[in-house]
Amino acid sequence: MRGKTTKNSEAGNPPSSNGKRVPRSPDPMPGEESEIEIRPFYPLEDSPEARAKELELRAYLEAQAKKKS
Amino acid sequence: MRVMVIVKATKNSEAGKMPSKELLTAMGKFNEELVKAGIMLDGDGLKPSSKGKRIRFSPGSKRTVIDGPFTETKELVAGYWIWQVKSLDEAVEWARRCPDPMPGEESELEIRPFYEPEDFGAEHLEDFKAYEDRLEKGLQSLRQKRIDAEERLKAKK
Repeated sequence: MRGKTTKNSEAGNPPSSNGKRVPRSPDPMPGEESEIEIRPFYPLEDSPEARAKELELRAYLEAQAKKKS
Repeated sequence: MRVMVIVKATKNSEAGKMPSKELLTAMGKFNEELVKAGIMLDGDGLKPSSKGKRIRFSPGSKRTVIDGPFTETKELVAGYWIWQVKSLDEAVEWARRCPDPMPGEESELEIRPFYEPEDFGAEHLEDFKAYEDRLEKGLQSLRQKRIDAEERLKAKK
């Protein structure tokens, strides 16, 4: 794996994007080396049609979920 | 059962190459079919690993933050769906109908079942219910924030 260690790793506690300390996740795999990967989603604001379609789909999904509950 | 369908990354997805309009249209149509069939619960695409970070946990409570990109392209995730299906076979059938997510490159979809509450034993179901209630309150608050933000954006236009 190619990756750079950041300054934050020295402190051992990653700050959130606004610089405040965030709660620390428990080690998900105690006793073994493991990793959590953080990846941003593609924003769809650049494409109004795709955004509208996504909102429409999400509204439908929420309505379906409400019906079920 | 719920499954996660993972779209594995490729050289192009890691380079940040956006899907063509044709592919977006085909995927949109496929998603609509999934939703109408009551299969799709969620789904989205991820930015390349160059935009991501990893937190490595080492024995002794050591945590290390590592910046992307990460090189094991075929092991990286480029996108995902969460489907509600009757069986793994049903998920495979739907996955076979998926438009090729990475035209011109070899790519893979990986289907992985979720752990469900019953997998942890009946004695834990009450704990799960209490946990869901707490999460639901947080989600409602988040949903409301998103709705408010959308309304503010609409008002600005």
